Amino acid sequence: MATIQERVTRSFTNEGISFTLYDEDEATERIIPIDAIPRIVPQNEWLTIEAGLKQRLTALNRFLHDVYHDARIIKDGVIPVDIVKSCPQYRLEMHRVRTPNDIYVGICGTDIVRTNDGYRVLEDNLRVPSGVSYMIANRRAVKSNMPRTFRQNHVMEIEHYGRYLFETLRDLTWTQASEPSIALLTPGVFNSAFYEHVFLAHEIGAALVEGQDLVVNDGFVYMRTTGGLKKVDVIYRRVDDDFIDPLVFRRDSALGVPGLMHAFKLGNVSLVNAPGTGVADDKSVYVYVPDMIRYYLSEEPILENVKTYLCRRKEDLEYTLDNLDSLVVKTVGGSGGYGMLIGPQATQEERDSYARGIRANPANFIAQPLLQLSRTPCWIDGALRPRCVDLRPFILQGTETKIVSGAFCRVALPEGSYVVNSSQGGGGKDVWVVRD
Amino acid sequence: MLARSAECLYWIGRYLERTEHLCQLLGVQIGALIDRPVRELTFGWHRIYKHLQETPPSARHEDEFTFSDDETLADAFTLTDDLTFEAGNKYSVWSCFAQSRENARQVRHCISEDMWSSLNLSYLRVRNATLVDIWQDEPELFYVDLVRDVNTFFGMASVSMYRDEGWDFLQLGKTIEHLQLRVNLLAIQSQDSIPLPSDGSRDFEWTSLLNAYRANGAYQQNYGIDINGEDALDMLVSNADLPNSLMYAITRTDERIRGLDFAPDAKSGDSALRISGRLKSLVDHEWPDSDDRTRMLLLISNLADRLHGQIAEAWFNYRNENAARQF
Repeated sequence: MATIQERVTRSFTNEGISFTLYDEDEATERIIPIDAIPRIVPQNEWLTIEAGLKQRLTALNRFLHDVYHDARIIKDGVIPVDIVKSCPQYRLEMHRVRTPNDIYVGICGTDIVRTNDGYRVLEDNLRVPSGVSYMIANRRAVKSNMPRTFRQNHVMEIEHYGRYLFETLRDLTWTQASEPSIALLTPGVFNSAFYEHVFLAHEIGAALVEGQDLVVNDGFVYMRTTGGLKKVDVIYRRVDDDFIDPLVFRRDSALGVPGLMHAFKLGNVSLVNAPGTGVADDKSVYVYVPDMIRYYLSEEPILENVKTYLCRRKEDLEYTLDNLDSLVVKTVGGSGGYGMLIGPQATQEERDSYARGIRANPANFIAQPLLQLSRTPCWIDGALRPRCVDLRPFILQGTETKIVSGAFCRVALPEGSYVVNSSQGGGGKDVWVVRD
Repeated sequence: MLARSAECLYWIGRYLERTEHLCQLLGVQIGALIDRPVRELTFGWHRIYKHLQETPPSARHEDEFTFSDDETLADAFTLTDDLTFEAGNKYSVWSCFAQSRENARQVRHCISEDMWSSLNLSYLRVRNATLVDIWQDEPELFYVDLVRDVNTFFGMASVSMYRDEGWDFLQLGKTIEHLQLRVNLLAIQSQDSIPLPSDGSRDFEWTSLLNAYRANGAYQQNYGIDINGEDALDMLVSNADLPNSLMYAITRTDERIRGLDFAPDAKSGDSALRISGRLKSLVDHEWPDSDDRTRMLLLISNLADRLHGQIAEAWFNYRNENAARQF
């Protein structure tokens, strides 16, 4: 096992499968740690997860269309208006803007954890979810170093993700041409997920563009090529809303394209995911996703949420403040595992300090019980050791909804840690969905 | 192809060619430390810095080189370090190689996995090396290994890269860099202003240059075993069969430019073609009868600089208003 682990790690190093960590002074290109022992998910469990994820994304897209048009769900009292309108990711600029097939989120990465009560959705990532390249890189590294074990276990394939992604982007162009001109918009080489951007551009045959490579003229978007300006049909954007168009959002953005939103609204270019999708993955709105499923689809949720307390509600605020030592508290707009309090692991001083922040702005916080995350064996320091893991499957929605049978499994590598984020020392491992 | 990706590929070619060129010169220079006279070593360092239009660390704040015989040997370590590992020196081997890898990282999707892996493995090997590590043993081997890595990259490119514009710009960057560095080096070598020793050791300088260019065998075939500066210069400029000659680089550059699609900035594209043609004509027709070869080399150098500028304007940095549109 030690030899396999060494080979797998070396293949990541040699191929430069990395992400970038930033501290105050410098950026460090870091090889993402990989654990060679795959996580096993039986196919019958996977089929439930898959059905639940498809159901969830369908409802979320219906919600996004609704909230930017007639807002029936608010008028019918299912979701309070203030939760939606106070969300910083709610974009007035998207009001009554149509998207191809009414799909706003074409690419979704949903974080799932397994608890004593079964699989639960921890959060939806509907803006620029990352990690899919590591899912595929993990698979390639493990498969090539454990070929016999892989063959013998009837593991379901995932490497057609690139084709699924291409088909989804094609579905989300207005013309649905068979060979659309696709650009993947990256913030650039200094972005922490730049490796993934390069990887995906290669997988789908897209041009990897930065804002400076695109120009809007007469309401159309063009990219600067060695043959002149070439029209772009669809942009898979990996740049946050705030930065995609300095004429509409942040004026100081050097990452975006002036006039891009104008071309988008005219229907001359598609943006995947559409701007404004962050309103549906806000941690306050998350609480209402099961209600969305019931409201739009008239179905019961297949995958349940984690019990969540909204501190904007008086009773939830009191409960949270009274039970800080047993809860995990997060800011509603936070990500990457930053800025959260893990009550049972915090000192009294840290809890008191955090409580002052909650009291000052309750609407900015949610609380959840500390989950007993499932642990899987990992090869660490020459021995098998249990570590907490989660799952991030990637769901694609164009004219149909597609998922490959696998996920990016994030591992909290430090002993006793519950934080799986790559930016905080987390690693990854392959996920084997094994046929029954 | 995206203009910025093409530019990255062009610069990969340039930086790797520069890396190889520096390694060849430094390999010869380090080898000479063993038994050559101090004044020859001084000339060698002088030649390297001067053709890069850089000054050595000891002269950074002075207008002129201030090498003395005593300083040269003592400074060999410092100068080698400055030209090999100094990250603050944009012409150090490390800086050039790291830049080539950084450009490659940005266009990994445009090059083959074999190309990326060979470059990245070499980068991982070199990035933690220090002069202290290599100095104790046989420092020349460091340069030999790195030249081999660069050649492996281009070998991988030749067998795995699709022959589209990406390939053309990679090769174009390589040949333009080749041309600019070598014409500058030959101009410095042939300039009267360089303090040449008077005891016949000038031939050694040409010998070392032929060694660095792997052109000794070709010289012997054409001129015999006695090294003559004029003949060596003539061969390194105008021999069309010598892969390290200016003529060879100019011919390949001209072929690459003529093979490219119509430039988005047509005016600059036409200008690049004209300059390329002029370079060919200079070396083909005017060089053999030229009385002032230093002036001729400086003219070639100037044209090569302008050619680079016109290529950048024509294909990479063109104005959107001038460019044709494709739907």
